[in-house]
Amino acid sequence: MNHEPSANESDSLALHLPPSPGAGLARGFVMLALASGVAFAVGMLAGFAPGMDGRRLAGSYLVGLIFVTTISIGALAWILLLHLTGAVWSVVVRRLLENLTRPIPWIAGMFIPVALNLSRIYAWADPSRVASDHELSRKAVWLNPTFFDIRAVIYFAAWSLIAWRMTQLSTQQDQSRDRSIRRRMVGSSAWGLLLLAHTASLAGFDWLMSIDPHWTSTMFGVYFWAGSILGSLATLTLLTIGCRSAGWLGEAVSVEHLHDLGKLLFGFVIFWAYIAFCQYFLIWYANFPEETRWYAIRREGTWNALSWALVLGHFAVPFLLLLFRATKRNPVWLALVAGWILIFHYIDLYWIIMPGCQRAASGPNWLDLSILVMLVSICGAIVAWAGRTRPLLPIGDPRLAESMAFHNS
Amino acid sequence: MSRHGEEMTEPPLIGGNHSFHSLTDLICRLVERRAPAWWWIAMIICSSAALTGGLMTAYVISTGIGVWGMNQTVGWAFDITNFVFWVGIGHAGTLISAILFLFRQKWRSALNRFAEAMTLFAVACAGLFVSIHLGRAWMFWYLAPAPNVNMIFPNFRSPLSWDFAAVATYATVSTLFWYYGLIPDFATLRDRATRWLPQHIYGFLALGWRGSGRHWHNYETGYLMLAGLATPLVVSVHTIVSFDFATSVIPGWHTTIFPPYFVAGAIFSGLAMVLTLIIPLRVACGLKDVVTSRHLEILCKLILATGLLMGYGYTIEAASGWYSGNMFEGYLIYNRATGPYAWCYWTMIACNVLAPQLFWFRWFRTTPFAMFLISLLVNVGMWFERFVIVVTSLHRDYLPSSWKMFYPTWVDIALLIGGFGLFSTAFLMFLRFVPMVAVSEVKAFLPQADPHAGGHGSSGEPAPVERGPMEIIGDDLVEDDGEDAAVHGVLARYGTPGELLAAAGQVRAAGYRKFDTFSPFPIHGMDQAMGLSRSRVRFFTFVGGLTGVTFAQTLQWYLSTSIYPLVTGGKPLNSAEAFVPISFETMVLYATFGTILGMLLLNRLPRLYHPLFRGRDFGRATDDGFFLAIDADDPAFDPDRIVALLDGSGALSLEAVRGE
Repeated sequence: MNHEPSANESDSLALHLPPSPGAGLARGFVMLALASGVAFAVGMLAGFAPGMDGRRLAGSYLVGLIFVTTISIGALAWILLLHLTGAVWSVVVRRLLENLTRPIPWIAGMFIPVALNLSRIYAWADPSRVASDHELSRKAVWLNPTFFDIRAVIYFAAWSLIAWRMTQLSTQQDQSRDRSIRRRMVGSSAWGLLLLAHTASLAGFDWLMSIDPHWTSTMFGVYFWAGSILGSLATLTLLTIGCRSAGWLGEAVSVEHLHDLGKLLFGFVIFWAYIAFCQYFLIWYANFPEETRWYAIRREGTWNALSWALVLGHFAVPFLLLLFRATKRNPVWLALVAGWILIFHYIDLYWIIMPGCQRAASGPNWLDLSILVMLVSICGAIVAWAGRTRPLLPIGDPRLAESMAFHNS
Repeated sequence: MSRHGEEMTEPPLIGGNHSFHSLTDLICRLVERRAPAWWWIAMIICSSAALTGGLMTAYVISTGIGVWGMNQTVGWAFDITNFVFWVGIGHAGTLISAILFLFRQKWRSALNRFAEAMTLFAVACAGLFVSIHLGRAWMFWYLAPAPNVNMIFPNFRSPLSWDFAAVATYATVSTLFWYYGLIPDFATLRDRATRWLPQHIYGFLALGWRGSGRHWHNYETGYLMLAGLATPLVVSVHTIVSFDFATSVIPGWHTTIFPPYFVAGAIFSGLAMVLTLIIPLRVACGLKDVVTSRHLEILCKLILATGLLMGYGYTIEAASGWYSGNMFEGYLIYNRATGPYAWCYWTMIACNVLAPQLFWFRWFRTTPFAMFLISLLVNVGMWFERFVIVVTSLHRDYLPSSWKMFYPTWVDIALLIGGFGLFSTAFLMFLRFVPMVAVSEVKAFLPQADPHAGGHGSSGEPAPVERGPMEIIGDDLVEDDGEDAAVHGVLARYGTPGELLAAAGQVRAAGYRKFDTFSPFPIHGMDQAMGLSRSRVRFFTFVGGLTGVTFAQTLQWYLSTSIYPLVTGGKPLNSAEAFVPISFETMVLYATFGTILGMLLLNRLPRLYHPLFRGRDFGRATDDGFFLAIDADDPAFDPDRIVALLDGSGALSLEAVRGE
């Protein structure tokens, strides 16, 4: 750690990086996506999924779609945050974060099925219900299909723009080694984060909260954020450990970096729990019928089981495991915890969305899984493909050597 | 952070060309010299204001809170506005001392001591307002679950109980955290003091701190634990303050965004107060080298960031007034923006959202006068924010027949001034008696504090030292002639941290185990060089926390269900959710006790006397001296070998210390 490689050394190091088999990996993901698509189609046709009506199906697709969206925009938020705070340790994982944001424009395309099926998911998109519900017709100024779609386009355009800008600057930095690029990265991060924070929280209100158009929680945008940030951090951890053990990152990522990822995971597990608890707690305490209803539904039957699963799985288990230094410094354990958190991030979204899309509370279905695997595989293919076009380390960043030598004191 | 400065051209953390000693001197002098004229003038003004506050407090308590302008509809006004304002101010101290510590923001070291002091005095002001607003302040103790003859206990499902637990815990933990950070600096002041009284007072407060490698080892772990505890604590405190409002059913109060929005606002206002205070102080106290323009610029950026969060909060609040479809909520927003208190609302928006936007421009972040002005605006704006939240939500009740206006009386205003007087008087006293910058921390950021600096290469091997022959202090280093007390050990002084680190490694390699190193700040890598295992302070923290949470859960459950089972607010007697806040606060409190106790026990402190204090130059161990001591008890203790070993390792001087 005392030995700090110079810029030249980091050059030669990048040259020694084994070529990542991005193309093969991408092909694998495409196959997986196709396979899960076929499995889904067969399952639907064979009627393996009782109760899987159009509404249920649209909801299940939305859960999967929001899941991959949160990972990508969470990764984008991390890039911007890390630039703004001038963090050095994270330089080695920055390229992986950039690659994680690459699916954003594609996800915009995957949003089309949702836009076509709005009335299956959102009560306010159903003209007959709007006509009979005074509250929905009052809100129609904001909650109407056209404006909703326009907003979605704006969100995706904003996120794609920020992601493109950060990726482009980073590629430029790789090629030109121009030290002034870092200043531009910080500058772009400032407006980028401002834009991202507002659009992402609005997206949370639009896509998730408005499923129950009578329900309001001003905290919801923050709740959506907290989940996204944590989910993408867990994905980054898994990706880093995966690439590291495959040897694609050379010697760049050490246990010290994993330790830091683990500490951040720990912090954001607590942050998510804090936000989730406060939202629940204030509504529980004030006990307004129109607010409590949202939670009351989720404290019955299958949903109640999921509520408890969230308390334990999204908070208690990772909290207790990550308390220990050993967990954070052991790649296998850390990967297990990160994977666990990711699963519960999905369950969290499922728990938010599905009670509004199912008439009777029925549990998760294996077709939910095939949709999830399909969407995740498509994004995985894009991320893998992105890993093929550029080195997996930001070789142009003047702080790379310092980042590699990072050591927890 | 400073090492990658080239492409961003960031100035170093410490300006000027300081040595360890000049830095000690710069900061300690402020306490040791006679008070300058400006201090006396400021003190006269501030203490007059504080005295006014004191008299008003006596008047309010003896007469009753009817002398305030509150009425049947506006039940809370200046009292709670001031309370929330002051608690909020306190948050920046903990942000800087704990949260930024965890995020490895080294620049914080120049500011944390004084920001923590600000926290304490702000929390004291908050305590004043919240106690007198009870009306019968002498019944204050009813808030604690104290055993009493009537068997009446607090309602643990009430936000006011949580608030009491949170503010009391916060006050205690911040005081302890502050004191913890001060221990090495008190030792510095002790060793520099020339008069009997300061020597003894600082000596007592320093608990016998010697800056030993073992001390630092446990101390640093404890500091990390305390920072880790203070971080969720500070978030919880303003969260719980926000619960006072948000758990109610009052429009404008019941909204789920309140917890994070209150926390962001608290940090925002606290940072503004830090800026307001530090801009004149760094000039008046000659601390421009320590609190550089870079520090100010970072503070401005943080104010901008938190100001944007405030803007987000205001927008969401206003938007949900429409979206929620709740007519009372909608009217409240309308009334805030256009009603009789609209000027307060727009003052708040202008000061909290618009003014900080100027910090997008570099000129405003680098011109002290502009920063000072904006920080004052933010202070004003945040006070008005609390006033808007408290008063405009109450003054137009559900029934128009009970709509009232609130007008402050002269007592309200005098108390408001009194609060500022109390705060600033306490702060001025702090400047006189305590180093306003953490001396031991900033020293560690001088370039020469890096043990691997100065071309010693990467392996930790000492470079050939250019020095004269090793000085032998006293004439009988090794002989024990029986006249004096027995030899306690041998004390050697080194010139740099790097030499001490290398020497520690050599002494250990030579087979010595009962040895210790002494330095004015923790030296990176010393615990490995001395062969210390991981500090066990963590264990004390864990046990403390576990005890706290178990105790609080049991207490709340038992008192609420068995001893004083009173149904309030339709909540079940055993409400696990409602017990969370107090359990959390108690956990943090006990874990803090555990950590500090653990550090003291493991370091065998307090120990006011130690034979090493007799060493001729040992006082420099808290200033600019680097020492190594080998105990005479060590089985390998052999004077001749030691002299040769230490001479070879580059010691500047050697002394046999006697006594026990």
